[in-house]
Amino acid sequence: MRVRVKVFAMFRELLGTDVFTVELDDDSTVFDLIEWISKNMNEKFRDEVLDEKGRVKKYVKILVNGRNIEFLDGLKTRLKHDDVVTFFPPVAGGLMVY
Amino acid sequence: MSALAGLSEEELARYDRQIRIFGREGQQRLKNAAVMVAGVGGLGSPAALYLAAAGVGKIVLVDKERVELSNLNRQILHWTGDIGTPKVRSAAEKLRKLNPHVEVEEVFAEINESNIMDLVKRVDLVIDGMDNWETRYLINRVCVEVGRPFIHAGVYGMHGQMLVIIPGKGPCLQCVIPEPPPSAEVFPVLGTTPGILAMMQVTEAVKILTGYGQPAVGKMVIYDGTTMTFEEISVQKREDCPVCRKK
Repeated sequence: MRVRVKVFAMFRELLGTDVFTVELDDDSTVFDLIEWISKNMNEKFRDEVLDEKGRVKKYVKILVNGRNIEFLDGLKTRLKHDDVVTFFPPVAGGLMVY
Repeated sequence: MSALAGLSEEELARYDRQIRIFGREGQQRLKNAAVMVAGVGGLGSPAALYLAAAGVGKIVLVDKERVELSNLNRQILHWTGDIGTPKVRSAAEKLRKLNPHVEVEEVFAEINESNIMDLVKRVDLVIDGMDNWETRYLINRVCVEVGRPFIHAGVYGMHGQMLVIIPGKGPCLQCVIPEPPPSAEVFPVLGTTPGILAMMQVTEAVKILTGYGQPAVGKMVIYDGTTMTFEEISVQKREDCPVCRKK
């Protein structure tokens, strides 16, 4: 299946693009997508999105079709063909280093 | 809060174009309102300027810093001759010239645990012009406690975010961003970024104060100047939020 990924702000700088398409196995999850991006685009991506325990960092927002995965199944949220996944790091005056 | 007074002929003429949007009643509500601008920097300068132009009756400026040369690319209420002057003074001088009908209070102090409750209780709404999360979380907590709308914005480079917090009606800042992003003392920023975010903050403030339109509750608006795109993220109250849970 194919999913479209949109990244913002520093994530875009990290990956060098703002919108891209990824081919994943059927039944892949948001976690699988993060792994794919880290493996194929920039290995730092995983560490920017997940903490040392493998949880989504609390200031990072991940959306599937505009819905926050915190209110879906988190990293286990299953993706479908044509889903749009957005990665957003909140920014703030004085407090963001990348 | 300002004493109740009607709108003079001069004020009716001054605000004519916006009275056509929300009526004399709306304008009167603005005149009766008091707004705190927490930090008179990149966000707070343009926010205070437009709040004054719109005729918000009382503006409370709070900032502990003095104007520096490197502020001037974005903190547009401070000009070259103001370097070394407290930001609240520099800003207040211009705001009074822009609109003598507005009362401007200067609080040359750091926002902290000991003064925040008093500051928030005296106003109807708070605009976030801070540059650090610790103070943002403090303001957020007190605003939720005493029931005052708090309009958050944050910027970095050519990116920014805005979130309207109306206690009891949606998530608070800590529901949405439970932990602060990593920190830096000095960061890149183009002046237009806080300008754009501040315009969104003031638009929301005017809507809330006049009762016109629908406040942007339940979503965070994301601005990306490098691609000139705006995105929305739906946000919800968090069950385990330490601020909202107490309420």
